[in-house]
Amino acid sequence: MTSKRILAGIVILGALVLTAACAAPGQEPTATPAAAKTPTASGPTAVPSGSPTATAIFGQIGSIDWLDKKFPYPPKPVLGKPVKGGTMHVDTTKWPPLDPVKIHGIWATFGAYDHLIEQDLDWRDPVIQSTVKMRPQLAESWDNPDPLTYVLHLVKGVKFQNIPPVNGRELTSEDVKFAIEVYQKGGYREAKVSPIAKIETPDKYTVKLTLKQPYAGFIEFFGSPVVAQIFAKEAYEAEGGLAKNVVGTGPYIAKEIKEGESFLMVRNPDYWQKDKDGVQLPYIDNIKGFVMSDISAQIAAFRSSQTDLTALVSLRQVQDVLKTNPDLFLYRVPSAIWGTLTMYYRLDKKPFNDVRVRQAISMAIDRDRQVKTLYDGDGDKMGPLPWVWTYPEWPRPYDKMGKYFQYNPTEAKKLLAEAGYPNGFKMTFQYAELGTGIVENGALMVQEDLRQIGITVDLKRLEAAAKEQLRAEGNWEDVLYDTYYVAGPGLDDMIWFTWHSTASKNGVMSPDRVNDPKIDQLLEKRKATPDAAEQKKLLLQLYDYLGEQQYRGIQTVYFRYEIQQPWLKNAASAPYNWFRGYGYYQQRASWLEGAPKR
Amino acid sequence: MTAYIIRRILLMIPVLMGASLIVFSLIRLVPGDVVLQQIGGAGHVSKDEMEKIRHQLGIDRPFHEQYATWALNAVRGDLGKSLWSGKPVMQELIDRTPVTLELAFLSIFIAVIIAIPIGVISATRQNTPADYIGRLIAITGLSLPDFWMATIAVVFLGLYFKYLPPLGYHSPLEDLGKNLQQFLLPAAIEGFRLSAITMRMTRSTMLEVLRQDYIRTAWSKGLRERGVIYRHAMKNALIPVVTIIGTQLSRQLGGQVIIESIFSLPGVGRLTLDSIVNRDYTQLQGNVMFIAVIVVVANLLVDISYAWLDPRIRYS
Repeated sequence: MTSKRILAGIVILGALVLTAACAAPGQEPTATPAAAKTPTASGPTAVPSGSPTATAIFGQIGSIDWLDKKFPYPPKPVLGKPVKGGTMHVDTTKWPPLDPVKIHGIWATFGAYDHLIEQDLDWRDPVIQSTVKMRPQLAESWDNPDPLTYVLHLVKGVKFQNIPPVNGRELTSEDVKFAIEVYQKGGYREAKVSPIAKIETPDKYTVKLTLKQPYAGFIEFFGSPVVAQIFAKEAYEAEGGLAKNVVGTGPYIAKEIKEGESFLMVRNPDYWQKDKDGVQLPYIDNIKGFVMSDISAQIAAFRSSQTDLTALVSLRQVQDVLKTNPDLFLYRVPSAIWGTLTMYYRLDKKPFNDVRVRQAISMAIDRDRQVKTLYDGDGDKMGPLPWVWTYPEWPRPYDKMGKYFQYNPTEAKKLLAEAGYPNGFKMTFQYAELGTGIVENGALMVQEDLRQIGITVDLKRLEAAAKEQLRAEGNWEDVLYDTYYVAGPGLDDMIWFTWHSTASKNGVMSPDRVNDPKIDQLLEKRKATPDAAEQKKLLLQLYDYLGEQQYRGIQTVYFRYEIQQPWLKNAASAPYNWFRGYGYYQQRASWLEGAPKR
Repeated sequence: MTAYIIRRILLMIPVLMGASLIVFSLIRLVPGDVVLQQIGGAGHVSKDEMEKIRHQLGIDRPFHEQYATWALNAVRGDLGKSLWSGKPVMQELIDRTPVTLELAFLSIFIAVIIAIPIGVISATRQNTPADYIGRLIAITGLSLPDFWMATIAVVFLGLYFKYLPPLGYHSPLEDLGKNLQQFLLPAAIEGFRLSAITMRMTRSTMLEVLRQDYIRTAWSKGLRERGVIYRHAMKNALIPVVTIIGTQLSRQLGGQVIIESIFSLPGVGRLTLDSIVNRDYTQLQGNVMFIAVIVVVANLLVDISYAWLDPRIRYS
């Protein structure tokens, strides 16, 4: 009898699980919007007075009323008074090597190091939402006495973390020279230090950089978060190198790193940086990170308050989590261009070597439908260059993008006929799905769009690494349907490495090997031009030219959603990219207020 | 018996060599490599630089050279260093094995305590409601994939109870409570799935044995049901069941890729999956050899256990 009861219990539990699984998500949350608080900037980022407001720049984004009401875009600069202490819990999907020379780090190593100059990435700052702003870090100031020379003045008294093998000694210009020279020897950051011809150290706190050629945007390029974390010679030369000796001048000390599993960072008690009120940073005592490759587990961890923030990839996921966590805070961060659905053509092959065919394909794509269908209306159409430097207005001025971005299948058919394909042709899309369904669904929608003008598309799905191989070698069949890659959050990361013909040596950033002297000329001219207005003019010329040439079928992109627990404060996210950890303030200037005991 | 064991151990050598050769070549036939995986997503490293990294890692050498070097080192117990993390492969395996071992034994334990009693009840109460329910459970376990059950469990607990087992691995020696919270749910899911086959096998072999003459003799001697079932029928019926459990255990010890990933358990399965995704050839080879050794040894132990279970079985 007892066994029967147990069996019956199991059956009932199974039925409950099935019912739960079948419960349809998707209803709009009904939670009332959180009350707005008075904006009081604190932490290292203060909103400059007299700055244009973000709303004035963008207006209201998106078409989802409830979302705009509950989580206005851009988010309000609500900061409050920082509280010290606590342990922040985060998740990470992958565990890259910890050596910053080999690859950019993740959360763990990012907090351990400082940079010389950094890109201000606090999305709450309205200035930053429309312009790129550089701010000092280890270099408190810099001079540009001539177009080839940059003199960096280091903050005095900065100490490395007080752990072996460096043991808290002071940072000097020799350390900076050593680190840059190591990066120049090769590895992930080689290209980012490549403009530097010579490094001199006139004194203990001065670094003089001589460039190979004039580069007006050097500081912006050099200050990109993917550049040069400064480490000590002792750590580099110790057994195991930087992969084992994670020692920098940063706000957090790597206390426990269990590769592939978890990490624990503890506050650096000797950290040099203070907030505007003179309070030493960081505020949070510890950061605990866990590797979780499964999105369901990440969401469940957030729901059960075991993590303080996580990233989501669709509005539906956001709606679903809001059901159980209506008080969460949501960042809706648009991508500058990174992650945009893009068709990379075999430009060396017929029919894609004909500009009319490329123009026709672009005009046959219904980008509005993509935004509505793929992203539930909360997405963004994208031009050939990142919006923040070209057309930051909202709604995006598509009339300025040129006619080939407009949906016009009739005109597209005409162009195809002119190119000698009145009945269309057959082609293949090769793609890999990233686990979100967006790439595959995007490919399916474009397949349907192109059918209207007589083009038949065969879809071939690949495994992710196989797609990377194709991307690097450029030998796909007709079209590689993929997302847009950039080399970092700086303008040159996004345009030089993706469009200049010399970048094609790599293949990854410019898989289609676009080689157009006019593009190179415009990029080079902009790079050497010191005048900002002239730079912008050249950039818009490039924008128009790329819009006309349609070398790449650039389409739409989804918003990045980052959800945060209500007790996590001031955890600003990076506006121009999607990688967590690039927004420095998340680690240095966020705090916890009323977090549960875990 | 000793000669048999020695012969089986010697036979392990060609099996392991074959396994190593297959995995060594197959992973290299798949497009992509560790360098592309490391810098591909955001790389602006030149092709020359990428080639330099490949050269440093030794993955640009001819296949036979790479295999010979690896095999020679492997027989000396050196499985090389992970191309991804730079850590010794053996160390990574040692770090991950306790998680997989615990999950495997706990899953098998749960499977056995579910499967054997239900299987026996099903057989002894054939075509009764108890039998029908037992068979229904077995069919359910066979039909529902573990990844589905695991995902549903995580979603269900998070959605309705705001609960997820604690994050980060907690050793049973450090904190038994947290450890059990982490392992019970995944082990129960795995155990339920594994119990289905064992349950069906127990039922069918028990039914077969219960129809044997010696069981009829036992009944006719007036023995109690418990004596007939447990002393006479079960010992013979369990031989094929032991084979099944042994095979299941060896597979479990090889790591449960999906379950470990969903429950964020840092075991051998997740390490293997990461190695495939990252094209970490050396780590993958080490993992496969580890799994192959476990499977071969487990099979040997299962075969040896037959002789213990059934004295009529003799190895020569």
